[in-house]
Amino acid sequence: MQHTEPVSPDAPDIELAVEDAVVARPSKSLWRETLERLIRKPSAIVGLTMLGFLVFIAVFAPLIATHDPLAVLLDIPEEGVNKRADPCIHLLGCPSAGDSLLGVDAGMPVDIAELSATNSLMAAASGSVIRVWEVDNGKELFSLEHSAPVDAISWAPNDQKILAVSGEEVIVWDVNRRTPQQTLTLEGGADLVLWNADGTRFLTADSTSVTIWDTLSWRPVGTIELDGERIAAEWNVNGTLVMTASGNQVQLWNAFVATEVTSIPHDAPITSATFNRSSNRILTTSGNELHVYNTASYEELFSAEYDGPLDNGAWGESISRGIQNVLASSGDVALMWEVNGGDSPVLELVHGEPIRSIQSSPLSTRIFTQGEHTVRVWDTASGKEVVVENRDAAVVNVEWENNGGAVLLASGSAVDVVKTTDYQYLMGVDGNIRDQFSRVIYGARLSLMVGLVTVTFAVIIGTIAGAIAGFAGGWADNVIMRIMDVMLAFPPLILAIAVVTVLGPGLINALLAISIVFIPAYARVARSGVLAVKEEDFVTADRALGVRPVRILFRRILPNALAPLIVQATLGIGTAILDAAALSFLGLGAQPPTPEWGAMLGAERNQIFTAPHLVFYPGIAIMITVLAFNLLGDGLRDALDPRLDR
Amino acid sequence: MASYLARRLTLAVPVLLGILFVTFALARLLPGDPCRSTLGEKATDEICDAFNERYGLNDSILEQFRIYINDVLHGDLGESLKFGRPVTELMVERLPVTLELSAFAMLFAVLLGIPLGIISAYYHNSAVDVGTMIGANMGVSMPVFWLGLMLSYLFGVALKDTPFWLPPTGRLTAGVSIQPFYEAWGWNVDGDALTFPGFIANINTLNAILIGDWNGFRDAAKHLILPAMAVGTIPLSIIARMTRSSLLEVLGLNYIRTARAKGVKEIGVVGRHGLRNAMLPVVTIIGLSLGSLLSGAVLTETVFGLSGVGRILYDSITGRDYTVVQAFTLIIAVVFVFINLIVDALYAYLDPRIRLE
Repeated sequence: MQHTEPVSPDAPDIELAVEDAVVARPSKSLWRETLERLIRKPSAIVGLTMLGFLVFIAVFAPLIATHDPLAVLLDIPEEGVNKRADPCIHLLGCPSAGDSLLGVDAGMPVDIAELSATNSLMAAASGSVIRVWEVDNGKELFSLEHSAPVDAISWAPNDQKILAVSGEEVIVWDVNRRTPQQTLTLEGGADLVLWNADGTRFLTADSTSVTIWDTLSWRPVGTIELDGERIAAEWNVNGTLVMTASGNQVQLWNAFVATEVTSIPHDAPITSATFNRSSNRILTTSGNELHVYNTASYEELFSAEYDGPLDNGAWGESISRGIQNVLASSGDVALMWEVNGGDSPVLELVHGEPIRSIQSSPLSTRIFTQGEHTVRVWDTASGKEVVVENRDAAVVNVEWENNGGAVLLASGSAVDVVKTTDYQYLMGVDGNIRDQFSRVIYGARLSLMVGLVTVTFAVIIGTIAGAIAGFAGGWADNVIMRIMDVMLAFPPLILAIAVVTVLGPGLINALLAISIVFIPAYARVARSGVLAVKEEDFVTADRALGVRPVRILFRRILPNALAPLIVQATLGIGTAILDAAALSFLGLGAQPPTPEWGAMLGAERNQIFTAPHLVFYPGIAIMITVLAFNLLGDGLRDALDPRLDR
Repeated sequence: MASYLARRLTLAVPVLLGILFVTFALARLLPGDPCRSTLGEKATDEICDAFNERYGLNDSILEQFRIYINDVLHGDLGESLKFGRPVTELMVERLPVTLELSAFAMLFAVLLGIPLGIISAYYHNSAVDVGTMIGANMGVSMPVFWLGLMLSYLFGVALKDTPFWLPPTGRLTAGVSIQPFYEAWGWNVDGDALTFPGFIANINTLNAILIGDWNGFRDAAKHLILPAMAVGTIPLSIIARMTRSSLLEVLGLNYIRTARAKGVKEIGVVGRHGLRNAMLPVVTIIGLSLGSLLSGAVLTETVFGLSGVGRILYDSITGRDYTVVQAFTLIIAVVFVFINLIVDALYAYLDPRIRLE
């Protein structure tokens, strides 16, 4: 050991019996020696590596995380996400855009296919048979036989009924009992049947008339005779109005008595007409023009003209983002205008074959265009093609899933659900539709911060208290250590819970509570260290030289009593992280939406049986972090205590 | 020995007084008005005055503390503001659940931890040793509540259709009930919840053994396995680690070499010579890990839907039920202090050097 402090010229010239009898503090070589011993410990190396990894994650969290930890995915917007969706990793077989999520074969050519209102079931009619599958797993549930070919079907808004038009009958099927609940006679048949939004009425329509039915009496309320061929018939969102389009006019009808409310004339024959989602606007296409009307004042709000005839009008809205687009096709070109924008289309997409229908996904990030044999899905932001599906048989029906992540595609005898988004959620999606992976990544920052801050605070207070107690002795020692004894008499977590209840829930208060609870442990270690070093010769020498007691304590004694404190502190960080997580789990620590691991676990604990991944990953993250500090602490203890060095 | 015990007991008195003071102060410092949190936000001042008068909340703090100590010493822990029942009654109801859970958890930890520690010490640096130590390190690093949730998922859902299925919540299967032993034995007990027999009868497994209801016992024990595993994992890891390191140290000593040299069988060397001396620190650590058992119980009871001490403590903290918080924190701390005392005494008994300090 080297005596490193230079002897000042005016110091008394003392002849020392042994060269390095006066040691003021551990020389640099002692620290180096400890470090060398430390890196020979496998556990310490593993611990340090894990810690380095965690620090890396914490520092570079914004680069590693795929999302903002607080961002709700639907607000970004990302479509195709469900609450508490399972982890999805492309490398592990998670489907990407264009992959089929479900493919079923109806055995016969499908004429009509429709997803149920909640998207959990799917029905396809071929000939006189309707088959119903579960969308999740493609299991066929039942099939419904009719005497004549099925012309139209419609799912009730709660999935409990299917309306089917077969010949001159309308059959109301009870989905649970799989038996007809009502069979209604409809002269002349129909090629359209449609429930209103709350399932209290429905309409049937043939080429020139629309009949409105009541589902309490199962009788027609009234019949609307159109003056030309029906182009469209639709319910408004609360089921009070029916909109029809025929000839040159769009008409609105009172749905209770089937009398005309108003009509909006056009210059050219109408090719399409449709309500927007909240049915406060109507979009019509006629000739080369496209019009948007207000359904309350019947004013024209927007119109646009194109070089060719327009058809297949459709809405693309995302209310939370304030986006309102209208879509239409002209031959094989799909067009999109912003309703509040200019006259020229913002998107012109060439489909390749005459377009039969266009539809926008619910948040308007994607649109599909359907032709005779090809279906294309486009990104509305970039206008790039996302998915192309070619079918040999004619495409019968294409429909968006409610969450916008996939389209139902029926052609020939096959019904497929094709995924249209490419997002992957490495650790799934949480109950508030946020990306779990990003939250776990950002959680590393909080947990490391929690561990370091609490332990630093507790070590500083505990060391000062313990050092004073050990150095001063007497009544000071007694008072301080009795207080510490009382604190140690409580199981730490119970005391922390009690303290945080007094302070009020919150991350900072939880940190404070845990710090307070840990103080006695450090006070004890510091006191025993000070007691041991106090009687050393170099302290006696300092006293003899008249060094002030405070200087002796903080510059001579404490540095020599630090080793066990360092070990205790390192091991304490792990415990602090665990306790902070426990407090957050109980709802006393970090408050939502903070991405704290314990709080994440606590928020989803009741979903353990249905969404175990939401509990699994934060817990694993806690374990890895605590393990890293524990291993490092074990290694440090061995390295600082040569007796254990075996 | 007696003088040592007397000294330790005297030292415990100020600590117990300190605990009383802390629990009293904590309950008084809790934010929020106890009257309005009990009777509702719309309670009028008159009603609250009457309420405060009834529960002595209008007296000065010092007077309240004096009354509190006096009451505690007379075994009166007050009346729950929320339930309107004596806290002792709640305790008789809730304590058995936590005790039973802790006992099973400790049983699990000791029965598994000590053999694992012995094996990994004996086969030092073997695969078993490394595996056990990795497992033990992970065990102490796991959040208890997380382990509980994962176990209930694994055994309750993932293994649903296998013989390994275990009930993930509750104390007994719905419909199963175990007759209190005093009824079965024809004892005449009034107010069955309040009495000592009531307390014992609330320990389902013990009660089932007493009346020989083996189906009931099996059902109760089955419900205890998962929570016990969750709560017991940390003590298990600590015990395994301590047994290993302590036995390793002992096995390196000279008298072990002597025993081997005189031809004692290996099992005798490890079991009789080694283990007996290696057990000292293990006994201490078992005693000390009872504290972590209690904390673990608080966290796991909510996970497994057990209505024990942890559950009521949590509920009453959120519901500002002062007296219940006070009483249960007090009881836990006092139990903790006495466990530490017993451990010290046991240690002094096992190792005479301690007494002479």
